[in-house]
Amino acid sequence: MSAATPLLSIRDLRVEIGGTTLLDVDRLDVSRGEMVGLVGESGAGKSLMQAAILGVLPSHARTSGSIEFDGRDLLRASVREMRHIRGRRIAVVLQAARAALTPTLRAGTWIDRALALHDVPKQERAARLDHALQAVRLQPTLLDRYPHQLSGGEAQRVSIALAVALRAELVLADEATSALDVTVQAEVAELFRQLRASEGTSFLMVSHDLALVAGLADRINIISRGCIVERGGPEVLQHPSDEVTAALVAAKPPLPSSSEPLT
Amino acid sequence: MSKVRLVATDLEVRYPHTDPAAHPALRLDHLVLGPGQSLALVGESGSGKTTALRTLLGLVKPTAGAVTWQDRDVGSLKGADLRAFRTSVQPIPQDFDGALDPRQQLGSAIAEGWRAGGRRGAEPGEDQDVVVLRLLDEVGLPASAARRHPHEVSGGQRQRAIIARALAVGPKMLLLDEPTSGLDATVAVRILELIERLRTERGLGILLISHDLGVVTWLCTETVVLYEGEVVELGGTKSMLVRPRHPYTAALRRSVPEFGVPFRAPLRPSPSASGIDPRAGCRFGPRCAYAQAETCVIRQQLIRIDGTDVRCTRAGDLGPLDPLVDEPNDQAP
Repeated sequence: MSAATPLLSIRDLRVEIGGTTLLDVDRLDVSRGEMVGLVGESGAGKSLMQAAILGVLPSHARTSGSIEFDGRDLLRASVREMRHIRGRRIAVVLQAARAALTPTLRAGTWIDRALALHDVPKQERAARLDHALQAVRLQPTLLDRYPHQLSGGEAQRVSIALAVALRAELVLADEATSALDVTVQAEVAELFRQLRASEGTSFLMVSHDLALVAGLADRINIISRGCIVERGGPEVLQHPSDEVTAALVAAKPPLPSSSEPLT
Repeated sequence: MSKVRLVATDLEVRYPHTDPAAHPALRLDHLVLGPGQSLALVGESGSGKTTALRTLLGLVKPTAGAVTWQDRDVGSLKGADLRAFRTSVQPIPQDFDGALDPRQQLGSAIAEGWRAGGRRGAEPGEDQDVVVLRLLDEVGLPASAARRHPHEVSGGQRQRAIIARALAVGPKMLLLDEPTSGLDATVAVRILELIERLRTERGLGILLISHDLGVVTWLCTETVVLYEGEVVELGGTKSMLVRPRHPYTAALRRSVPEFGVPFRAPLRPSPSASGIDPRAGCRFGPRCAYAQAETCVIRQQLIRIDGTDVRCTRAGDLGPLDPLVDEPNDQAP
């Protein structure tokens, strides 16, 4: 696989549900080791895009176009193939960190079962887990805890540790930091950057926090009403030409800056 | 005439069955909320924000100190006095999806609040339906919302309905726990505008819990920063965020992503080798970039500098911090 070919390459993707076109994306690429941002307001199609990538669209959805992952078109992949890719080669980190874990399983057991489910041999699992814990800087003692005994940030690290242990090539981070405290959010964001450097993981960061995405992603795609309306470097987010996105930028209450007089 | 204000003095809250040697869940030296005032409580999860709110509402009994409403101890209120307090100080819960009965129409929920609050605020001759319509209008909901169930309206509209229900009892203070979390930025800003309008038009006192410093700046003139149950800084919101005095306030400010500002390394998550025992000395010490073994090993007291209360012995030496500049020993292991 040459470095020039993107890991994920979406072309002319259309998703129709009940006769309405909800997604109409001409092009979206994520290269290996790249962090790509996908931003837009609620209902723009961010989650639908991820559902399409993971092959979990509603059964009555009609699709056309292609979603190539490492050269394989996911829209035409068999159930068996998707099972091999979903969760394993393409991992998901969700907003509701604790709800993403199984409430009746200790965090360590949860990771171990997921590894087993994805055919990681038993003798290899401990080493993978050790490596993952180090990568996400998680105390091994936390693995004995149930989800309700973890903080939001800790639960999120467990989710990310699983992605690392499975050696996921692409992580879909769906508002992965939105529910966390700002200080914890900054930690998790920093962790994504480190994983990208140490593991070469690619990220599709989906968020409505435009400043966060601007600070992390190499390239940004702005989605509005199902279409990518603007793409470019992080700077496109500051003054988007799409009016819905511009409203999103304008709506964020700013922090006081040192240049304005204090009253 | 006793003053309409909510005051907390030397408040300490310990939850039962917790280690008596551990620090309390909350220690609030002093807090005053008067009509038309706006005060924010900020801090990370577990810092005591919600405990503070619940204590101010009289739902949690402090183990020391007192909350007073119109100069009377909230803990001693009974009967009609307690009811008057409960109607005057209204909470807006964080989980606004769970705060409404899924089987009750919004208009009926608001009417119930109005009846429970003693049918206040009605003009002569106004019946319940008219009051409900007036409240819906005040919070920016159409009259048709009265007949909708919670699941039939958007998250922003549910939040407006809950605010209308709180207004139905004729409150003097609103205590809001993360009122815009989970809402889209464009929807959230409309809710903030509504809260601000209620403050100016009705003269409501606003206490806001939020972890969004942008929201806090927008809505509140004064801010209390909590860290592990203690006030670390208390003062004017703007000056505090531009020139924080406490290293934790500076770290909070630095954690907020901003356009055109390179992503900055966050606060150290785990105790560093500062040699400071948070049980005896500064609680923030183990994570503080400015910690010095000599000065920070002792219990920190609130000190007043230029109108701001800061719990840091080094605050005087450090001077106002620049939150946009990396901390001194940031790169330390």
